[in-house]
Amino acid sequence: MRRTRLGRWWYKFSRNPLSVVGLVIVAFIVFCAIFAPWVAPYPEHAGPYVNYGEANKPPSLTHPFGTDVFGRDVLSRVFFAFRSSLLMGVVVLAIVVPVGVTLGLLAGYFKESWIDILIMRITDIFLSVPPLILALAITSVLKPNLTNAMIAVSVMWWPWYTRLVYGMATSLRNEYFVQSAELIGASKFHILFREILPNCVSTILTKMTLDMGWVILIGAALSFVGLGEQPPKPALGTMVADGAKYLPEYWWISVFPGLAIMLIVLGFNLLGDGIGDLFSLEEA
Amino acid sequence: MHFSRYIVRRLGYSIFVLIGLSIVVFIIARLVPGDPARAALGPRATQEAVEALRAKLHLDKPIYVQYFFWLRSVFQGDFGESLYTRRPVVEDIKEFLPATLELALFAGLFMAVFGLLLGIVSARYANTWVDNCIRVLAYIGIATPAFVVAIILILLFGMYYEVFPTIGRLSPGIAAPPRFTGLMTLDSLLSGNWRAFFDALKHLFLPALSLSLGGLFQEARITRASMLENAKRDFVSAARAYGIPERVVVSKYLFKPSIIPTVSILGLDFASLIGNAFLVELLFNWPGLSRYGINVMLRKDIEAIVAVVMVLGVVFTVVNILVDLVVAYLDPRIRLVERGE
Repeated sequence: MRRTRLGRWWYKFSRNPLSVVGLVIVAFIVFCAIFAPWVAPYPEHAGPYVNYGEANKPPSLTHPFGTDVFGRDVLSRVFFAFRSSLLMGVVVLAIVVPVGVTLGLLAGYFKESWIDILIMRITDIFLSVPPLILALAITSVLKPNLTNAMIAVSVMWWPWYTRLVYGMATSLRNEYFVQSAELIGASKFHILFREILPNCVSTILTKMTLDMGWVILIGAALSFVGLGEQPPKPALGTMVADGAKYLPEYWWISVFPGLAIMLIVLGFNLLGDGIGDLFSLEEA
Repeated sequence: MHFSRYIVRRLGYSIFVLIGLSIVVFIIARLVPGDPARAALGPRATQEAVEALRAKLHLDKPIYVQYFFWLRSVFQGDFGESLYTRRPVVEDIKEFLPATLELALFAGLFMAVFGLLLGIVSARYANTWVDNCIRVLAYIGIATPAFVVAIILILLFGMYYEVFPTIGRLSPGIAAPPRFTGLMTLDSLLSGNWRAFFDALKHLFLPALSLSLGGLFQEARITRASMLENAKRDFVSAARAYGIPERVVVSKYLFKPSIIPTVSILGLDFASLIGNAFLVELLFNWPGLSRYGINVMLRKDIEAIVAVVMVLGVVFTVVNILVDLVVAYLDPRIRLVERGE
């Protein structure tokens, strides 16, 4: 039987059951986020809904994750919170990856020129403080909302890609295919983006998958202290923080959103490891 | 001794990076919409009073001039005044930093000791059920954010089985030891107050555990991988072939090179530890710099925000220098390459 390329990838990917578990978790979360209005048992609870008669009900068949202090279904709010979480991950990576990768390519290719020195020194400065702290500081001086949280995390995240690509580009620039391209007079643009970049793509993609989880986590941390998505819109971190005030009586209000964050990070970690293994098998 | 030159260069670069960080933080602080002088004096102050304060704080000058004035006062030990506590920021830092340092120290200790231990056990029993259990736990432990771990620990230990306290640094009935270092455990030891010492340890346990769990499993994973990789290397086979006892082979030949990746990743894990302390201190009502940091951030207390970020940046940098020095000590290649230059 002739295997298609996709089939071969799937065969390699599925040899590690953990990778498949990761893929299933991520697919489940993306599905719940996109179809939240249809999947959530009480879609209207995602907004400013109040029903004190149903407040603080423990998990039951009607409310699998219980209800919060306003009587809103926690499960429905978790599904809707997946939306802002995933949006945060996608937007931040969409900003950070092109910027970080381009800077890393430039610094790596022009190693030991002023471009390298300038870019890498600035990179080191941004890496000199734990990302969450500066992200918190940036969001706090701006207006707290989801957009500013994304900006703050983006400001802190690009150096990781710069450093990653820098390392690869400094060694790739000495390869024969790059030197040949230089000899036939290829433009710098061509060398950076058509010769060097394609050799970095697998590593970048692997890191992006892993980072989806970490960016969502840092977003949850921002909303935990009230510097992310603002109520009544649901955010996982906000839900954990709100519920923490009612521990231990109403434990479900914060524990289930907390486990949801864990599930997201776990899913992207497993998937990222799987993709990384796939590429290393492919190259071997 | 060219190793000292390595240290000097490492220190010099750190100072450069910290000055760069101060510029970045200073620019961010000036992004705040509105006039800090007006904010400090309130809406009823006269225009002249606001102008006078602006001149006093050098806010009427260009931003780079402001930066140099700020830098000069920082070197004189003056971070300005906090709008939140109405005290000099330096006083606040002196009061709150030790609690955070103590917490980070214990969490770092947990991370290094238990991470290494689990990693070694995992490698020793590789691919048995022990190893598999540790690896599954590691996946879950790494993925669980510290503040969620904290909530689950508060729920389990603190409230259902009241073994460990979940609030503050000392029980209400116990008098705090006289303050020498600000580290509760050290101060109580210095004053010979054993009751306070054990009470402080009990208070440290849950917050330190929540902070360390993610890094701990990260360390375990890395130790396992590098132990297994090095076990296949020639120098280990050679040591065995010489008839060196297995115990010595493991502890002397295999262990030392295998913990290098573990130690070097400690610096990175310490970063997420300090970051997470912001949320964990809030949950455990821990009177540290991070909880102070959140409070000043929520109040847009600019001078205090800048100071907190800078102080934690310095702490993080110092830890990373220490980590680099330990790695250089463990890995002769780093020392010798520097020497060869």
